Amino acid sequence: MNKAQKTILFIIWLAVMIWGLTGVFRRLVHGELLVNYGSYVPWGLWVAAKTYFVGISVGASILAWVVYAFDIKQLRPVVRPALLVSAATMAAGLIVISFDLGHMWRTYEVFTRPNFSSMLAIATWLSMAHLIYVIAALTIELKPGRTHSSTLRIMGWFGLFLAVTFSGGNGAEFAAMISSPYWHSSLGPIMSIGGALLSGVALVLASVALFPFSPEQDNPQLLKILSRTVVGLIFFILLLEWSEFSISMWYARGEDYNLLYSILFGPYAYVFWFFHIISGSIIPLILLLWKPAQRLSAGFGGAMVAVFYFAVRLNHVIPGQVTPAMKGLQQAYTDKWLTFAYFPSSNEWAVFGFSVALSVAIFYLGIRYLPFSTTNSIEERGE
Amino acid sequence: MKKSALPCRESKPMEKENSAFKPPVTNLKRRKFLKNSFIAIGGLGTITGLAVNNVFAGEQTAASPLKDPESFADGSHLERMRVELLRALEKPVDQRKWVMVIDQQKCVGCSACTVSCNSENNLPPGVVYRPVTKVEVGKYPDVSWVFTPRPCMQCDNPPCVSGCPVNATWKREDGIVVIDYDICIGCRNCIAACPYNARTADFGDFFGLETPEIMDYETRPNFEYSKEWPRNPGSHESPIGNARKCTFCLHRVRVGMLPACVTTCLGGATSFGDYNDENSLVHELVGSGRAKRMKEELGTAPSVYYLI
Ligand code: SF4
Ligand code: SF4
Repeated sequence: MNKAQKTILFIIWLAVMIWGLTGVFRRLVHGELLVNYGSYVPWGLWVAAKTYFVGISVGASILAWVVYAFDIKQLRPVVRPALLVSAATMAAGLIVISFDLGHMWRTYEVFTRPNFSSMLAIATWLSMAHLIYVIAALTIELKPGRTHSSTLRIMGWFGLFLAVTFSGGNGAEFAAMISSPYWHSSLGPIMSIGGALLSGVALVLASVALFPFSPEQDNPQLLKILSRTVVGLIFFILLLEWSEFSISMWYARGEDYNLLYSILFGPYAYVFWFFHIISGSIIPLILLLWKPAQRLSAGFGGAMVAVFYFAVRLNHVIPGQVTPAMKGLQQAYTDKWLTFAYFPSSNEWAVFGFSVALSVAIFYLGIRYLPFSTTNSIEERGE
Repeated sequence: MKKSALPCRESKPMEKENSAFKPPVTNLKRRKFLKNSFIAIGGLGTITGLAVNNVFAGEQTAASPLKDPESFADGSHLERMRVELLRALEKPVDQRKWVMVIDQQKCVGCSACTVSCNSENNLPPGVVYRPVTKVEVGKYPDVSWVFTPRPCMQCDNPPCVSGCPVNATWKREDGIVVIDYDICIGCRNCIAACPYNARTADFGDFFGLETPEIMDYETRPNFEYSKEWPRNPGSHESPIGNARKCTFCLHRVRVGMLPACVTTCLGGATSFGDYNDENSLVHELVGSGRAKRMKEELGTAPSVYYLI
């Protein structure tokens, strides 16, 4: 990347960060007065953003754990970017969800007085365990040659267990709710794990292809493997979605039919068709199948999948809340907060922008300043 | 229902039903004394204009506050429920089972209950405990309205409770589902989990926020859970930031007053009482054969019955 490109990227990042900081400031001063979610759609953009970031974090870490567990030498160079992506996005997820809480300074209570029958409490505990584990693995990565491969293998297996449990738990947080037939699906945890893998691996592919920070990462074979993995995962997610939509809509009736119909053909249909299907699936498929080993093609393909997977998260979180529990409730008592329609406010977008800028900063500072050895390989680790 | 260990609950004032808030014997004596005083004042022709700022103030909204509740035999709907309420309060809290019965044939859709609830609990924008839905059914010329008041169902198997990550909400032994505002972190998981949309969130809004002045009545405290909860613009203190819900007016019930919605119901459509009392009105109504519970198939076991 030349200096001009770097400057442009820095200016964009700075603009997003400043905009985001104004949002954070207004959130801290005005509380939740500037949000558009409300009492009937209680979870909005920030909850969708949390599931998105956490998904990427888990998916990226799974890539690292698989390399550890199965000792895949070819993929060894992706471990560090994968762990960095995982830590950076997890931080963003935790930040954005804390702004969603009515009493963010009481978050510690989830640890001091947890209710372990709550999926949310379980997922929060697992999220902490996941973050600590990722940071521990990053610390090991800073000390090349000091850890025996059998230790890494065990770490990989345990990491896999933790990541899959955590990701499944995140899906179950919604899927276990009987209040929304749309959420209450046994496919939920599977979709959550699949989506995490897709978005996480895609972002690692983008980072390795577009911003390689060691010579080993600039490897067409490596890009090819990652591109193929992402292609496979796109098809897997589309298959799950087909199953969900076709089963619920086939006979054009049933509880979910109208809701799914509106996702496909309602006012926000562009989120599904333009962002998810065209920008997040078809174009990346073309790029990744066409030139899977070429840096620009693989990088942009991966980036598009990762970025536009946010549409899937939004389409999962929001529609699950827009159906009134009983007929006529939307007209029974109305004010700004008691509506079943939702579009995020500018301040919600700004805080989301802050979390994105923050994760980019963490990733950049990580690759720039953490003393990773560029020649570190699994053989040097005591095999 | 699973009872998790919550040591802090024991020390809450709201739990001390049989001490500080026990109205029965001594309170009834005091009542009689006060009522006699009222009668004396009433003799002077001034009673109706009195605004009494004590626990009896609310009871004045009920019919015939001057009569001894224990002596009622006139079949008055409200008085019967009030006598039954006092009788239930003489029992330990775990032997009561509060239930609400709403007769949809009697409901006229006036929303007086919504208004009285808002006023009783000083509810801000975004928070509503008892909306009344109005649905038109049939085709001209055979058209009618179906009115459905929707309080919290005080489910016996409440999904809102199981999902709370910090045990800030639970079901009391008498059946009422409560929230501890000082613990609630405002994650709104319970709101998303409620299949009746019966929980709402306090976002710190005021009706007068974008007007030249916020009226005094908006900043006066409410008395939910028998505690003062002031709300001030710009403040982030509870109940701002919390999930909020109908409690069957627990703060009134524990001092012998019927829920605000019950006393103000124009059509006499809402009944309230102790289902464990076989002689109670609610026991009678639930067994009438007309009683249905909303979304029974979900297994939430609501404590609110509709007579359809
Ligand atoms: S109606 Fe909703 S808020 Fe009330 S107890 Fe049942 S689940 Fe909880
Ligand atoms: S909003 Fe409060 S009461 Fe509801 S689940 Fe969250 S912490 Fe519990």
